[in-house]
Amino acid sequence: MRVLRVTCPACGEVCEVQLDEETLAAARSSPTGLAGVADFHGDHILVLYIDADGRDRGVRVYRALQRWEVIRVNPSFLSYMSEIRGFRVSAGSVVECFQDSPRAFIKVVGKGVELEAALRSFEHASHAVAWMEEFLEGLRRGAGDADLGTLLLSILVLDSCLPLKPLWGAARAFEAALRSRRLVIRVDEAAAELFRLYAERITWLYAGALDAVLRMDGWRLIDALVARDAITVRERLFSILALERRGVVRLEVVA
Amino acid sequence: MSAWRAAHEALGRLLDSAAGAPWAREVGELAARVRPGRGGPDPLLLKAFTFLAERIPALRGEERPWEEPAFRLFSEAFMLSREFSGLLWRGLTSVKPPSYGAAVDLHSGPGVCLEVAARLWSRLVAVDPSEESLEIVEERLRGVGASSYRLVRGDYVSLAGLVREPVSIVIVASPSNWFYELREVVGRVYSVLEPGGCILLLAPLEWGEPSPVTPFVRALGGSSRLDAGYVEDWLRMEGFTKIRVRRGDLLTLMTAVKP
Repeated sequence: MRVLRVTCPACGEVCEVQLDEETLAAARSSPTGLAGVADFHGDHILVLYIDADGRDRGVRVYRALQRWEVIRVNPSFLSYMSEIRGFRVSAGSVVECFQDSPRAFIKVVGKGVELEAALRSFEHASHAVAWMEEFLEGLRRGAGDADLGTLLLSILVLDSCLPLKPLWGAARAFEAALRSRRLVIRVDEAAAELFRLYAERITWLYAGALDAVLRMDGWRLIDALVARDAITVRERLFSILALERRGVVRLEVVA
Repeated sequence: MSAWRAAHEALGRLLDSAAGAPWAREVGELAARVRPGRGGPDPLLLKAFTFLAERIPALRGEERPWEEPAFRLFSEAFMLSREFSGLLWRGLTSVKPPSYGAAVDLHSGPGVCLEVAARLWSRLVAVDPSEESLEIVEERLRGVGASSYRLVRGDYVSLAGLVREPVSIVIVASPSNWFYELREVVGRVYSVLEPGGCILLLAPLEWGEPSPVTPFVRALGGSSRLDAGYVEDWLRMEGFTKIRVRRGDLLTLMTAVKP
């Protein structure tokens, strides 16, 4: 395992990109002789290109995912997750992230999209399949508006959901996360005023959700969601969707 | 705090919103016959009905107003009001249906009834045509720690095919029911109940004078006015017995048993 330090030209963050044998092998077998290793930076992705000897051959910042591209995500991304220890998503392009070679995968396939995940434990495997199916349904609906950043964000959400009993309509949550760069939060003040009057009777909603979301009027959904901890991302997303179902906020599609 | 007064005070806003609409005259005539009621308005219901009044022109233009987020918000506020939740709790605790069956919330809307029923029944079923309403029901049931529940997309027409478990009680209470013909709903409910099972109706029924809710229901394009006497007759004709009626300020609770 080698580690390269690179500075992101978009945000200036210095990050360490791990190179393993499989990445070098991918570069060797690639027609260009290069392999890309992606590092998740919230609203954008840094891709470091390396050759078969592990030399730095340049960096690029991506927001959109190119069709048929194969991206290997820096394994350090896995440190943000508690359930998933490796994954591969195929939806036109392929995005994968593995620290090592896992022995067992769960694979879910549906209508031109595929998700393989290696779990840290199989304790939640039955839930995992149901959540992964919802994820794929969300991906199928939202793939057109997704990019690498939002794809990884939605993987973070998936990871935080796996210990939970599957939710009705979870596909909508994944779809929103995948399309989050193109969705803007619009707050309906009159609806918020009514909701405030009885919000304290809905004790299970993420504490402070209403006030937090009201301050996000005009924000892109992705900016509202970005956090480096999967549970926080999930709580923010579910809170926003809970308010959306009630018409307190609307998610407006922007170009 | 008066629920009736709250709905009555919001009628002015409804008439403003209705101005120029083809249905404004009918709503205006109905509203003019509603007595104001006594006491101060319930603040939550006043806000809820005022909000509904402002949104009615947009909701009326929708094919399925009951599936719109604004109507869900109104419904949730309405069902969490003191008037609604007080009568609902009385109704649920006064019936003695078989304990082994499920509690079904028909046209559940945001599922407030099942949240309350979860304290008394372990098996819960929400039936609603709106996927987003069922998402709120699930959010609610998880919030109160209910684990044995089923969410079913549909309405009263497909009820018998959708609910396969024994049914102890069917609750017909959320404002989504304002859009359905109660007489037909009662017939379908009877067919899914176990012997000894109960129906619980909670609605703005009329007792010889117009309810302040009726102009809202008509403005939304909902079903015709609901006369309490007719509803009682429908229950009896269907075969229900032990019909009990309790009048609140704005709403009427009816429970009945399938022999």
